[in-house]
Amino acid sequence: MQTTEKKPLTAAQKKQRTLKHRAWLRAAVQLMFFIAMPGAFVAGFNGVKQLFLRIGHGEVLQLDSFTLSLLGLCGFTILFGRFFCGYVCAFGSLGDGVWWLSGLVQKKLLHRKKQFQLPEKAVRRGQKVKFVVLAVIVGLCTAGVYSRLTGWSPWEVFSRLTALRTPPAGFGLGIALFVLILIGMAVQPRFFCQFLCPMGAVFALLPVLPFAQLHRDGENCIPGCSACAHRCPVDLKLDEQSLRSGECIACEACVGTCPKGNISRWDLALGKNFWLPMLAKAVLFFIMGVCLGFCRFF
Amino acid sequence: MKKHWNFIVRAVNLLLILAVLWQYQQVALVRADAVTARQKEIDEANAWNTSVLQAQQAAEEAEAESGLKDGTYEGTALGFGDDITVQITISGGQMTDITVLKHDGEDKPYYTQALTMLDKMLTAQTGDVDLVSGATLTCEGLRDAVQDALGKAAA
Repeated sequence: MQTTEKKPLTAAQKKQRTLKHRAWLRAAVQLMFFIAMPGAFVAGFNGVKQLFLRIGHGEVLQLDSFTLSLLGLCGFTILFGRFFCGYVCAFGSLGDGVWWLSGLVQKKLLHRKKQFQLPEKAVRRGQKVKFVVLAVIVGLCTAGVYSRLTGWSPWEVFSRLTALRTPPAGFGLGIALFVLILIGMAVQPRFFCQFLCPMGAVFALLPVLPFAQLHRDGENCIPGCSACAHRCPVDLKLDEQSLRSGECIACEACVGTCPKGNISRWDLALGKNFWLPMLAKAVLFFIMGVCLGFCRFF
Repeated sequence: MKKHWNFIVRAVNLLLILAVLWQYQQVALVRADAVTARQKEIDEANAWNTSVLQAQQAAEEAEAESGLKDGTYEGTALGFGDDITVQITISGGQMTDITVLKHDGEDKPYYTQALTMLDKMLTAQTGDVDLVSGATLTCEGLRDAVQDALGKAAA
């Protein structure tokens, strides 16, 4: 009998394998939430809109389901970073999907070596646009004119689609915007999330607890490396002093990429298994989501 | 401190926003209470108006029953010393007011006693009520005068 002995993997191969596993697991978590809780982001942002609609009317604020959704999402984000954005949000997952598909097309059909991406400067400017979007929507709600502006929201078009319904009549503008956003998603990872998402603007302003943020041990870095920033969908270099640190969607793409394993967080430091904290948070969010009524199935 | 400067600024901002919302909520609650109280007043006024309308309607129906026509009528009858003239007001088919126009021939103390009859007459809607003892003639004069006027109203 011949036994073919498996060659032990080299360190680089092991790393590649872990990267792949990480990507697959993340995709699986995203897909699960995409199917089970596609409406979570809309519910959360409805909390914001409701708040300012009530203020606009001078009404008493109430702890209704939208407000609870908002509080739940914000609380989770303060405790665990923007895990919601990176793993749960259906619109974010859509962005990742389109970006991945766009990369596939560019590589296989157009034989491009590197996927086209917007220049860094444009990205950094664009990231500020979402705050304007948030301010405008909040302003419109407070002024009481928001409810008259139906049919423009690409979110609503998308949430109709996730409910397997075609968007209703009068949503022409919303559909057009949605198509434009899909195109944007193909040329920049997380195009909507970092440039336009008003809920992302809210999250980016939240005080995420310091130990819940990814931390880069800069002193140990290889000079001029910036592998993490290249991998980062929102162009971060994990500098805690930077105001842009709120942009981090906790996707952990940088963690596996760093050649020196310099990027850490308390839960990642607990054990060797990268998947344990990820799944733990996914389960925790799932339980919270079920309590808040995000889940389609129960 | 410097390392967590970002977090501190955001946390303070969040607390400020929450404080503003809290303050807003307090104001809104006070306002809502005021609005509720006002609404209650309005409701009460409306209820009162409705009851008045209903009473009016009932009065009109009563008018149809009592057969008294709205208006003022005078009646005259002999009292103690001279004729007593009264004016009655019919409103909604009901006698609502009795005014004595002329009581020259009556002695004041008796007359004052006899006046207590007027309220009873309004309650009973007739001049024919119990007489005040001791002032029989004045009372009879008042009674007959009112009956006279009521007779005119019924005509």
